[in-house]
Amino acid sequence: MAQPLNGEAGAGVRYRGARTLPTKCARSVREVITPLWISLTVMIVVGSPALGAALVDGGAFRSTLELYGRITTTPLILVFPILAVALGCGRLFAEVSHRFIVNVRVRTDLIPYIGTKVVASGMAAFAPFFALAAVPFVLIVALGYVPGTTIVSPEIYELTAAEAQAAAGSYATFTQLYAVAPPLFGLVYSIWVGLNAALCAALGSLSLFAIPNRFVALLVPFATYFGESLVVSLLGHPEYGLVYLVFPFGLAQGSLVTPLIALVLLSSGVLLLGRFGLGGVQALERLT
Amino acid sequence: MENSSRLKIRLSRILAVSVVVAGLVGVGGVAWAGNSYVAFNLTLPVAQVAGNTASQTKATTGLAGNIHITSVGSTYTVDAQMCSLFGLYCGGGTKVFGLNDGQSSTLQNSYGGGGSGMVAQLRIGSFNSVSVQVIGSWRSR
Repeated sequence: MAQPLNGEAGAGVRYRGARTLPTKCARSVREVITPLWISLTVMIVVGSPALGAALVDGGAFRSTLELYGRITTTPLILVFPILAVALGCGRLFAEVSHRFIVNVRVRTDLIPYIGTKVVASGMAAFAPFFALAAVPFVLIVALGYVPGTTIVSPEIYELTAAEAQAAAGSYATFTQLYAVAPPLFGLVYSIWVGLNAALCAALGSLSLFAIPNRFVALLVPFATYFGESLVVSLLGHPEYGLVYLVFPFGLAQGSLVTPLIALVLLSSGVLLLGRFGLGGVQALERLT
Repeated sequence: MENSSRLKIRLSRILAVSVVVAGLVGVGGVAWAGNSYVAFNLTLPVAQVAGNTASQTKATTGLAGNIHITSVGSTYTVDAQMCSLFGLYCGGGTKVFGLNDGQSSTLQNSYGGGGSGMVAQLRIGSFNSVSVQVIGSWRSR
């Protein structure tokens, strides 16, 4: 009887030295962190806010919160899922392309293996996008840094400083939390952006096993994100679009329940693909 | 032949005087508009492409204009900036962001008084995949 290799536990038997799920995930995340991942992360965390700052340079804002919102909302938000997929799915894409998974299949159960990879891809996409929202929050809202020739002047909007501070709580969706406690808003919104990036990466990873063309598969999150936003905009309700549910600045404030639509939509996609897309993966012809 | 050339000269004088009078009346009318709020009803194109209000003549150098937004289509908000040369040059105006239904703002600027072709340039605050109607009023002052 063949022994499991490299300590992998087959058929539910745990051998001495077998890797636990967190260990496997940590190893998979380390595999995802390549020079390309680091370059993309720097581009997103530094480049995107820099672009946002350049676009609003010379303008006037009511509060630092509004400046933060507009700096976070760059044209890159339109390709948010493509960036999330590029950050999270590179390793799995290569494993499928180079038929590495075919070799893995003979020595281990593919479902837990792919599951670990999907979780790792989500984590690899979560971190940069969490930082994308968190770093400018710390710099602009917490420390009060105002880049370039941009100014924060409530007087221009015919408001007093106290009125502008009060108005910040009704600026956009999620800023209700700012009225409760500014750090709470910063933390929740950063987790929110990271979580959506993670779901997009997981959707892209699972699509690799459900759609024969790998490049088309990686476009599934983008098509969902942009297509849904376009449809609801045409119906006159842009506030329900995934683009605006993730980056709500520039629209009037909506209920805190509204963003859950994004969570339900993307999570449903991940669960459906996980349930039906991976169902026959052990016998998938493309992997033979 | 002589009569014909005299007639031409008279006609050209009448035309020149008419143009001057019309110009003076026109300038006076626009200058009045610059000090008073003038309503606008714009449909801004998709993809955050800017739209311009009707032009006004600025009365006083550097004096801030005003804008009031009555309504913006759907849940969008609008950014505004005072520009000169019918919207071709905006370097002298400070941009204001995220104006919503019922909100007002001043339009800080450094444009010279007497300059015609001043417009309020409006742009949707977030990427818009449909055109958006904006109704309001503004003055260049």
